[in-house]
Order: sequence, then structure tokens, then C-alpha cells
Amino acid sequence: MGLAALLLWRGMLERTRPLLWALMLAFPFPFIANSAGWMVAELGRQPWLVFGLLRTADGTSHLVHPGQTIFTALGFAGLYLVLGLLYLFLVAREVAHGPAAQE
Amino acid sequence: MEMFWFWTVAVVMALYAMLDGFDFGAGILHLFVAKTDAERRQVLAAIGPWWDGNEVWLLAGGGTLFLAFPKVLAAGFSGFYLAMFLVIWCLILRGISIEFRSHLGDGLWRAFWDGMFALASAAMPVLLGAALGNVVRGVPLDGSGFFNIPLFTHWDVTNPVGILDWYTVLMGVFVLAALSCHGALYLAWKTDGPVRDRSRAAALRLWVATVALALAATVATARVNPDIYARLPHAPLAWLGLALYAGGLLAAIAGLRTGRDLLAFAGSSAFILGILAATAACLFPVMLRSTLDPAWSLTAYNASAGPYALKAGMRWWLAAFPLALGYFAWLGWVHRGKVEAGDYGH
Repeated sequence: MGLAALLLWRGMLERTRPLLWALMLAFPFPFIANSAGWMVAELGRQPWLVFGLLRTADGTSHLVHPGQTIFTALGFAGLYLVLGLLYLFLVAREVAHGPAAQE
Repeated sequence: MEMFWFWTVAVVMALYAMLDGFDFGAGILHLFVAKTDAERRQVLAAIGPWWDGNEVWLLAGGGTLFLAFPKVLAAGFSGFYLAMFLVIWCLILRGISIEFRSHLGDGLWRAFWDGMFALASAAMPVLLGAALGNVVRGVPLDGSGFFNIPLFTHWDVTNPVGILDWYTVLMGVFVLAALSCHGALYLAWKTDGPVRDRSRAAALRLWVATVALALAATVATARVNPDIYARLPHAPLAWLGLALYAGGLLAAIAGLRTGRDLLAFAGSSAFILGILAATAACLFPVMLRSTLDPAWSLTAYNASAGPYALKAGMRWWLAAFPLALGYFAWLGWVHRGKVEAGDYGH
């Protein structure tokens, strides 16, 4: 990124094809870093819900039936699957269109 | 201190209903008041700068409950588990509909997301109204401070109660009409051309429905929770709320008749804030009423966090609240004036 910034500043970035390839292939990394960061925070904390104070097993709602949580988890998974596919479709369409000639 | 936090929750929730209410109303009505694609975009541009910021007041309400009244939050979110998820899914679908529709020019694509937007916008007021109905009627809180409530039982307000009964459904329909009217008045104020004319016509009819349902809800509430009216003589803030309620309704129709759109919208805002303030003042200090035994109700005094949390939280709130209000005032200033047909930018 530092190298790319330097080249952009010197006005040479658009002619440095290997770096442009690397930048294009790097696009999933922010998403991966974001998700991985959440997973480190949430999974690394187990078995604590509040570290050192409250265990996850003690923090659950007694009156919520397990079937309800399965229902809502599946609901979220289904909703996000549909939205994720639509998102990919829209992004792919945007990429296929290419950049606007002149804004 | 507990009183300060009770009113903070009440004010944030009332502001949420008033603010997100107008974009729910706009969402419900856009199928009827905006016929062409350009008109639909005009409606979306009118609420565009507002709707996502408005939703944050709901988060602020939940966050305030978490900070000040954790027992109310724990009982409410466990007890209304599935209803809470319905609210979340409706809010997701609403936001997605607004964002996705403009990415394809295809007519079917746009019609689908417009329909989804209207559906999710209509479901939200019904859910919020039913939630208000449950708060007023009470829930089966037992001695443990928790409750478990089915979606419906025998449709009556006596035990065993369900989330839906004749009273909470009536409240849902009332809030649906009130927020539709609110949204129509907002669109009348912020748009011009055919959208404004149709919004004004819709607002007139919805105003009549709102007044009729408000009277029905007021009478029904006396039967469902007589404590509310017993407290009325001792709650001066409730009288202020009732004055806003009645004055707001009158200002709305006066503004509508004379074409003063801002007056009409301000009236409808005062009506929503007033009716919720009066309800809160008459419920105080009860936050979640128990239908089993009044001693098991969660109140501002037995459900609050410790004194340190309340005090530290208050310092942050007093700093943050003016900032949030200032942001909304600035937003209103930047987007003052009408959204004209063909002017989609925001």
C-alpha cells in the first residue's frame, strides 16, 4: 500500500501493471480482516461473555426455547444468503460495466 | 435519578416514533401517492437524508435501557424474543429495499423492492403499536423478573395473555393509521407537484381514521389498564402530554385545510410525542407491568442499575444528547425546502 501511495503521488501508479494486479487481487483482504477480527474477539473470549465476570453458559435466557434460537439463526442465515447473492450479482454487474468514461 | 432515566427512555422512544414514524408512513404511502419512477425517487429523496439516522433513536433507546434498566431489557428481549427478530428483519428489509432498488433500471426489479419497502414499512408500525399495547396491558412477569409470552392465546386481555389480543391489535392498527397520516403530512410538506396533492388527499382521510382510532384506543386503555387513569390527576406531565395530543390533532387538520404543510406536520409530531408522553407519565414508575401480581412489575426503582452507573451514564448522556439534536437540526437546515419532481440528489 505504501509503495502504491508513493507511485500514485509520483503519478506512475497507472503504468505499473504488476502492482495494479496485486491491488486488484487484494480486494477481499479487508473483508477477511474484518470478519477475522470479529471472530478473534468473539471466539477468543470464550468461555467468557464478559471476560472474568460472566460465563457464556450463565448469560443465556432461560425462557427462550432452543427451537426459537434455531429458527432465528436459520432466518438470519437465509436472509443474509439471499442478500449476499444479490450483492455479488450487483457487484459483478458493476464490474462488468467497467469504469465510466468521464464523470 | 431513576426518574431522570425513566424519562430519558420515554423521550428517546417518543422521538423514535415521531422521527422514524414519518419515513414508515412515507414508505407505506409511496405506492399510492407516487405512481411513476420519478415520483418514487422524489419520495425516497425526501426521506433519504433522514431514515437511517431516525432508526438510530431505537438503538439509543435500547442502549439506554441496557445502561439504566438492565432488568427491563433482559426481561423484554427474552420475553418478546421472536417479535424482536421480526422488528430487526423488517428494518433490514426496509434499508435493503431503499438501497437496492436504484441499482437496476429494470421495472420488475424496482417494483419488487418498492413492494418490499411498503410491506416492511407497514409491518413496523403494527409491531410498534402491538409493543406499546403490551407495555400498557402488561406481561406475565413472575417473581423471577422474567416472562414468557406466546404470540396469541384467546385474544383477550385477561390471563393467560398473548402478544396479540384485541387490544394490542387495536393499538397496532391505530399506530399504523397515525404514522401513515404522519408520513402523508411529511410528504405534503417536503414535496411538490402531484405527490404533494395526493399526499394531502391521503392525509385528510387518514386524519379522520387516526382520530377515530385514537378515541377507540383511549377508551380501550381505560378498560385494559385502569391504573393509568387513576394516576392521571397526580401526573402534571400527563396533562401537558394530553394538551399536545389534542392540540396536535387540531393543528394537523387546521394546517391541512389551509395548506400550511409545516403546521400540519408539526401538529402530527406533537400528537405523537404528546400521546406517548401522557402514557409514560401515567405509567410511571412502572416500566413493565405484571398481569399476574402488581408486586412483580418492573419499575424504574426496582429494575435500575446501581447509583454509580446511573450517575456516570448521566454525564455522558447530557453531553451526547445536545450533540445528537444539533446534528438533526443541522441536517434539517441543509435539506430545507421541498424536494422537487426530478430532483433526486441528497
